[in-house]
Amino acid sequence: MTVKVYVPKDSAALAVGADELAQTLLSACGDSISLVRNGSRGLFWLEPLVEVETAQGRVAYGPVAVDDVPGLLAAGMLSGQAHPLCLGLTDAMAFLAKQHRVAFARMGVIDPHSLSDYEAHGGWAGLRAALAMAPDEVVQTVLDSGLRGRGGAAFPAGIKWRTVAGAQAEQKYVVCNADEGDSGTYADRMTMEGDPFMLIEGMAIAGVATGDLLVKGHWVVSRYFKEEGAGPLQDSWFPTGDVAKIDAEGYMQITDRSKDVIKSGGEWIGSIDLENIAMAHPAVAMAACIAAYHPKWDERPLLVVMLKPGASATREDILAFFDGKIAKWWTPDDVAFVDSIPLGATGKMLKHRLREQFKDYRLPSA
Amino acid sequence: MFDQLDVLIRQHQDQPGGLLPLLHAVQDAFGFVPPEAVPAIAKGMNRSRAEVHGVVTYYHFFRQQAPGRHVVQVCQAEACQACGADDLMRATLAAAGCEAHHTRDDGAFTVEPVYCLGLCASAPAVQVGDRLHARMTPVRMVALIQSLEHV
Repeated sequence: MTVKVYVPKDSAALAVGADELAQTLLSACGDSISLVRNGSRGLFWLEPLVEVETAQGRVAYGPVAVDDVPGLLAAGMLSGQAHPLCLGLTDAMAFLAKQHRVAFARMGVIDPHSLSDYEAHGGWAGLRAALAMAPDEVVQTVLDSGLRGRGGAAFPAGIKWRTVAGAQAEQKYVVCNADEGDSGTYADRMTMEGDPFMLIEGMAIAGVATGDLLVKGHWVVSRYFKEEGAGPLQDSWFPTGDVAKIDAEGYMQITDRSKDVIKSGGEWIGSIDLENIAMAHPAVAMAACIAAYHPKWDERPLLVVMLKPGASATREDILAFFDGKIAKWWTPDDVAFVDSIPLGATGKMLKHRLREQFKDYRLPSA
Repeated sequence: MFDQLDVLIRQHQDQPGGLLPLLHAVQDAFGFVPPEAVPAIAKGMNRSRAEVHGVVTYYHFFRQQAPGRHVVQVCQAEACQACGADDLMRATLAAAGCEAHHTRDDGAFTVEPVYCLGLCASAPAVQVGDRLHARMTPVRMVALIQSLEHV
């Protein structure tokens, strides 16, 4: 029977010889151990902290130097036996027993490269929940949670997300700042090394809540919770109804909500580009672009405009404003003036309401 | 050099925010960002030379001269200072045979003070090449440098 032995592989452990220690243990024990390279639990003064899985739980030894290995093995470390370096059951160690770990719950416990470990310890539960909610609800949940950034500003995450969700932009970016190298501060390196999927999951949730996102990967849900049947996946893609891309450097670019893309004669027209141009018109307070039915082109853009108080502009004024700024065939077929455009809690235009309002709209070109 | 530089520039010039990744790639390829590469980088990234120079000089990570075979970085930030970083630096300079920020005449060692390697709880810390070492002592530091003398 092989014994599971944990030797951390994060920077703090490597800097005190964890790789050499792991190599020594493998040479001495061969197939009788199965070595897991976890992240540190954060007790840096005890690194390299070796843990051995026993029937009672994980037993810790540390700090372990390469020269300590023969003595530890002779004392019966692989079955959790006593030794001057033995710290007892990891979970019962005074420093850890007093803690209730939330963001650190998986830190040092799991193999950071193992998706199945991540999932078995609660990973992806947040993203699954977020995918079942409307983006506004996700933002509200984060607001209500009181989640804050760390560091000097400690800015509430929910306010940041609400601002980004309400911003009109062709592209939005989810950026994870980490390891700033500020002496004596916690700077996320341990998270990146010990529980990296948590950051990826958090960034994906931010994408769902504040922008628009497509997700793909073998961890993506195969069916909705408690729902029978084939599930929502199409060719392994989860249709979040969003458009995004991740480039070779890992940057995720969120470009458009797919329902907001207008499919005209098989070509796609991005509604956000048209809205950005229309909103630059001095008389326009707000503009939304939605698809209207067209017998020949399937869909053509219809621009819904709310004018600034006291301002005036005609359909022709607005359409002329697009001249030279975009391809001619992108120009909206018509302009509908409204008194107000419905907004959600985060200040985003509720396009589904507009689509409902204009579902029977007949374009002059139709 | 310029052929390789051209390839790197072409790989990054269409990337939004591509200047920093490009400078990293240049330093990975050449060990430093050669000043004579700056005009080509500026042209390729559609920036002014002053802007590129500004980025290169803002980040201490980017070098403008070729480093020695072994780059020894000794952390001098608060936590390490409290745990003997000054003594460690003195021992390092004596063993490496050069001044801080300098490269020994034969090109064996470059010694640089750095400000935080993120190992405050295991201070003092140094980085030699890509390898971090924590709880470093002057005695172990001298032995480490001597072991690299002919490598």
